[in-house]
Amino acid sequence: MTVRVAICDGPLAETTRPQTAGDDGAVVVFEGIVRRLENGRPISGLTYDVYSPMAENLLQELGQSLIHDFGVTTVIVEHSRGFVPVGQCSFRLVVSGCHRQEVFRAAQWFIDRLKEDVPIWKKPVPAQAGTG
Amino acid sequence: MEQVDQRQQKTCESLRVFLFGAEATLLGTSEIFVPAEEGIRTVRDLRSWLAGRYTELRPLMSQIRVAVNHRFAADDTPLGPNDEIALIGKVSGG
Repeated sequence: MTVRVAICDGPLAETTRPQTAGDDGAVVVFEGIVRRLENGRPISGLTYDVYSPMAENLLQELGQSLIHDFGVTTVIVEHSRGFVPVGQCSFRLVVSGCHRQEVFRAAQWFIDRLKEDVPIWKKPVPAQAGTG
Repeated sequence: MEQVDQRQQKTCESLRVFLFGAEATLLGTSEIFVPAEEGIRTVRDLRSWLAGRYTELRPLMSQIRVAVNHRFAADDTPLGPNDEIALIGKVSGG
């Protein structure tokens, strides 16, 4: 049973599928990508502000909830801090478990809670003012 | 957030309150100091004081939660100068 949380500066690097427990038959990998438009306006990227260590603590608690309440075995969470250009990854969630049902449900629940409770804020950077 | 709130002066007994997101943008600062003489004892006192002092925050108060020492805090949570206090408005991670 593993929960790993990381806040990373800038866009998240590409990654390979992490090693999972031998009994796991399902892995869900969700990636949040910065879109070109924010509220209909073109942007160069998003700047993320993270309140540490509260954000990390809450992400860790949410991950533990997945293990205890959904029966999954591995939860890996990465979120960006600072500027992330359009097209780059700012959030990654990996959930593994025995079967697809619990990992899909767990991943959905986690993301819903993240967007409700975890103190992270995005701020759009207009396309003409961006650095990316 | 370079702009400093000139309405408040920091003292060793002040409460220090961190701001983020829309609240920080509205007030033009990422932290405010509540003087000890304001008599803020609890989260409820702080919310009331903020709404009275910063009219800009009033429309947002219903969605603002207060975190004390990195945990969401109930209204009756006591506050002291050594606590780390933060206003957590609408978040937008992910």
